[in-house]
Amino acid sequence: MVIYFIRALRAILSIFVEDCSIKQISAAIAIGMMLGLMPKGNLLATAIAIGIFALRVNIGAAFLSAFAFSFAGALTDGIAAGVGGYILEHPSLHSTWQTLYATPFVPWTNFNHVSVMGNLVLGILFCYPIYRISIPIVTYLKPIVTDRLFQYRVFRFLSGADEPAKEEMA
Amino acid sequence: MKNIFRWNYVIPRLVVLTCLLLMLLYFSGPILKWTLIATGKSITTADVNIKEIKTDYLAGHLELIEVRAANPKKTNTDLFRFDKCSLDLNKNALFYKKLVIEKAEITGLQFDVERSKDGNIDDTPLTLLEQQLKKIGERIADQNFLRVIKAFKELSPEELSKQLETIQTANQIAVEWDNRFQNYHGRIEWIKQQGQAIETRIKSKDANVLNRIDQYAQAALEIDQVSNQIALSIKELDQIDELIQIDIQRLDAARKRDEQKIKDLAKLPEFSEQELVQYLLGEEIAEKTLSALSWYQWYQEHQFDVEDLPFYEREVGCIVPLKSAVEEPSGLIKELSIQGSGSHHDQPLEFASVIKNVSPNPESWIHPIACSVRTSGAVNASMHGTIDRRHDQPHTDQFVFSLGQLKQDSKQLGNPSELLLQLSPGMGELQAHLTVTDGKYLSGKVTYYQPNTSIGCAIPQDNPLAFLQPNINQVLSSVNELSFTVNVSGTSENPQVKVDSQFAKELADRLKVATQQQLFALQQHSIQQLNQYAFNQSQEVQSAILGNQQYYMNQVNLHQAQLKQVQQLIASLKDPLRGLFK
Repeated sequence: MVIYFIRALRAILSIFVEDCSIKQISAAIAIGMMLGLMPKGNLLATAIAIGIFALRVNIGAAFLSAFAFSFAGALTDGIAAGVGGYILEHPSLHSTWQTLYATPFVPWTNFNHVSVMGNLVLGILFCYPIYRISIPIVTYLKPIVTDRLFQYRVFRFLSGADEPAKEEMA
Repeated sequence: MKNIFRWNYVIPRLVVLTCLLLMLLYFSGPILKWTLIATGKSITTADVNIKEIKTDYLAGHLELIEVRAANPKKTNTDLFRFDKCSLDLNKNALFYKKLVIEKAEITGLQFDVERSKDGNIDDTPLTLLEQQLKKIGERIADQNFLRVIKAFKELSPEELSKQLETIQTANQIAVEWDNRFQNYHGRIEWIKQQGQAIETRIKSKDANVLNRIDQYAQAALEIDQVSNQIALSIKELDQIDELIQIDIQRLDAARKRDEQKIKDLAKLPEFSEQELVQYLLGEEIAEKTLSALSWYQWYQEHQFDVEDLPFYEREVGCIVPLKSAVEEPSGLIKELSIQGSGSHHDQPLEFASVIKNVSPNPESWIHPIACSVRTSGAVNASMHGTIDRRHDQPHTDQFVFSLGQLKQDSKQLGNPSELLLQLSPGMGELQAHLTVTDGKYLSGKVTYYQPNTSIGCAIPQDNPLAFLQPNINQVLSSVNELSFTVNVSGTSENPQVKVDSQFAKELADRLKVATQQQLFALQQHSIQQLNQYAFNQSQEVQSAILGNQQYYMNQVNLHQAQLKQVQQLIASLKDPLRGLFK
């Protein structure tokens, strides 16, 4: 049982060590931002969360980003509500929303809530800029963080990483 | 280029997710059971038990087996229990985030069944409504005919003697004349003593001539003073006739005021039909109203309000309303049929009920909530209710109750220390139309009819109204049915109950006539007594005063004559100077 647990941890940590590029981490931060901004308890948030697991992105970075942007989301909710309200109440889009709402399963997304729509739009708008901004930051920070983590025996043991793997990553 | 999707991750997890969904489909009963029990406990504030839940999501079917909810007010009994509740869900509406129950059926529903263990989980104090309604009986029982009893007591000779102005005036006049005659007596005594003193001095003949001259001169002056006093006394005694007339007028004025007071006292008491019926039936009706309204208030307190639920942890913004593909509101029970059994006076009864269009947001559904209940067996009753919340304001809830063959035990109405009516047992019929506007303002009418009823009356012997008992029994002997109408108004927190009854009207009319006759006789007797008293007092005062007047007049005349004799004596004495110059 213990061995199984350790193996599972190793599998998670191996994502940091082996199969994780700078772009994957940056994309994870961008998608995590979308999840963090989005109010929870609706199908959209669930879909984004499933997307994080399904896409080849860094899960740890995505959820760390979601956690951080949840606090930011509380601050930007006012702006998001304004944006969402403007979009949802725009006369030219009304028929679109109406059609969408009359589609099965779509009402479960709560897209007709101004906060959900606003945060979705803000998330999509800032997704690519965040991705682009994250690339140089991750490029700069990742080796430093990895070096620091590899100084700890526990991390090395749990990740199952060896010296050649570390060099390969660097 | 590597594939963007992590298939080695996705595929196993999709398998796990599918297994989880299948588990949810077939084994979600325990979770749902736990949720329903927790929700039920929070609503009823008492224990809730569910034996089993069967779910078939694909068919949209749900069954609850053997559900029991303890009564929060009587925790050793179940508020209700039922054998089975089956729900047919509209699957299509679920795709559009709507929970629509096409048909629900509850069978084997029972109320007030004893529990094997106490179901108390909360000690809820009496609500404000319950406290208010408990006071209704006391409040309307206070509006009894104590006023009438009081009037009779006030007209009793003992009480009247304390209140009548005539008696007080007569006493006052007697005291005044007593003081006045004491004053006369004092002055006449003074005249008498002065006359005797002068006479003694004159007759003493002092050897010194000069002294005698001084004595005569002094005596002449004193005689003048005494004569003046006599003249004043005679004048005052002559005025007594006028004073007597003034006092008799005072006494007569007081008598007239007293007569009016007695007439007013006899006018005050009236047997109001309204007050009488409330006095007799007040507590009974208050209890029934309490029971009905407390259930309505319970419904109001626990009705599901979707607006009260938190939407998100970050509550900013609002929902933009859009037309759904499904016209039903987000939650709806289209039809709920209930069948159950119970008992009334240990007689079994069965009931069937249909409730339609129950929704947490009724304003978005075209039909109002409608419910109907029919019972058979021990009680033949029906109830139809409409709760219309389709518009913001005003909300109107209407209820029509009809109860036939309602078994009524022998009852005592009224207060044993004042007036008690004993009703024989029988079968009654009750009709009620109640409207509640905005969930608060009550209006409506309740009518009750009980044929083949005999009523007897008892009034304690020490009660001033004991003389009414034959009259009441005479009225009651012709009463062979009991009927009354209760007009309900006010608010659900402070309901007002006004009771009208033909039987009470007849009784009140007869009591009114009887009391008025008795009071009129008492009034006439009192006035007669008063007049007699006033006449006697006048006569007594007049004769006593005139007797005294004559006595004191005689006394004054006597002393005046004596004084004249003294004057003549002085005049007959030789001039003392004559001896001096001899």
